[in-house]
Amino acid sequence: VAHDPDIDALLPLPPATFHILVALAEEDRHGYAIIQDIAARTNDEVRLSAGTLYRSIQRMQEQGLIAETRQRPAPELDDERRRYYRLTPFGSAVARAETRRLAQMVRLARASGLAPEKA
Amino acid sequence: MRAYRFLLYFYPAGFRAEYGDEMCAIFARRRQNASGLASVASLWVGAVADNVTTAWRVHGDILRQDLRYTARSVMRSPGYAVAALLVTALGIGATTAAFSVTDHVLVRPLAFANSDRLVKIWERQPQYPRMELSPANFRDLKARASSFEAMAAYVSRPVNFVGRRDPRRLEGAIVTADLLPMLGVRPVIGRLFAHDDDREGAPGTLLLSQRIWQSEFGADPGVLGQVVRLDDATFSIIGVLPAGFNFPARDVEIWQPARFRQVLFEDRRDNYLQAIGTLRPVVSIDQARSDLNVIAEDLARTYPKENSQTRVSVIPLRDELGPQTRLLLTALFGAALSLLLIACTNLASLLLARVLGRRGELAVRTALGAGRERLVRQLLTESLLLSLLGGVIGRCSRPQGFRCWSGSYPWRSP
Repeated sequence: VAHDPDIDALLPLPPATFHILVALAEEDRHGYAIIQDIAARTNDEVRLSAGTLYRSIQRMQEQGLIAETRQRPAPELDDERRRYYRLTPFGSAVARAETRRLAQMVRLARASGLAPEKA
Repeated sequence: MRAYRFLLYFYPAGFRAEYGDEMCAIFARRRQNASGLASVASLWVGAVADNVTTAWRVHGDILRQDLRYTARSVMRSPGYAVAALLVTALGIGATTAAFSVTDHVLVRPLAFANSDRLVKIWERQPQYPRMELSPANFRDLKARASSFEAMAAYVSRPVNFVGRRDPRRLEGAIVTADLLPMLGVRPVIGRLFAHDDDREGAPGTLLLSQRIWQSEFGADPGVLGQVVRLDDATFSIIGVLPAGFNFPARDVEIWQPARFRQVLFEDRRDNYLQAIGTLRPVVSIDQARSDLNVIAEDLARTYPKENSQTRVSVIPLRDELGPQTRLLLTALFGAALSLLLIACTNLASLLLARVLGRRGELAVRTALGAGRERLVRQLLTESLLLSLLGGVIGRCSRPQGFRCWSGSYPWRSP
């Protein structure tokens, strides 16, 4: 796998950043939807606070991982106060690189008997 | 919700403007979902903790960003940075050095035991208001004075020192056995002088400074009892005095006991001893002065040829500086403050010139969406960083200026 220094410089990602990238991988979401999606995926084990979410969003926007999108849902489903975010191609590449890194870590842990073999 | 909005004031204004409404909306939803007093209370505790801790992190993010930007900006114009640093360092260095000397000399109590009761004793003649004491007069004053808890004498005496290495010329002092306990000094190793060390014909003993113990003997505790040569006589080392004990001079390295020979008491005009004393707790300085002058008048009657006009002055040790010296120190501090003001003015002019030169850059940043708060914060960070670095350089250069100015007030300096 070729290494991109811009991507490598961001790894390992903070857990909140990775969760947000995963939440935006499926579709564009607003802040509260991101929190709900992460809670649902993790069986309510990870519930981001508003402060953590928006600090992460600010940094991720500066790093080019996500961007605010102008596309909005149908007016009857929309709330004008909401801002929607989407994954950028760079964000997607970083999320894949982090996933590979985590998978490698899990493989290493399995080889050492620290994690159960894949079912 | 107003309370929650208040919590958002912990964040920078830009962050609040960008995300404040959404954060409020999220909190409102969670508040709707919370039922029962316990869950509402838990929600609020969580919100306070979250906003306070995250706000600090957001401020930290911005600070890091500003510092990176400042570093890049300084690299682009190193001449400006060097000039600003030098101006700041000069102003802060001179002011801290002058303040340190003034503080130690005029403000702080002396770093000795019972420093408020320590006094300096001078002989006084009509032509000479402050003269050293002769050994005979010191002996008689000490023996007969009732106002003093202790009285001791000393004289500076440089010596040729031959230890383990090459011979060296060292600053030294000859002191009576009472002096060191009176000042409350405790040896690092060994002991202080006992009265037996201080009598005529006693074997030579000496105390080393910690500095010379480390440089000459490698801080070897086995140094006690070793014999060294001072000038043409041998002395055995009995102890080491702690670093920071600078009496009677800043650079004194060797102390030896006075061991007055009888012949020294024969001439009352042989004035070379400096004398200090500790007043008894209930005795005022005026009472001590009267006490000593009664003895001096009695000595004048007994030894009219040498002592007819000899009286005694007693002044607090910390007031030993004359009014002229005090004025000089105050003026020095004032001059250093003026220098700081000049440095500040120059720095302000430099900063102003720089900001004027960066108008284009600031306009572009404003056009790209940077708010006034963000720009002010960036410029403030830049100025504060330069001031801080200048301050550090100034603070590091302080010891040089401090040594230069504090040489005249040895035992008052740290």
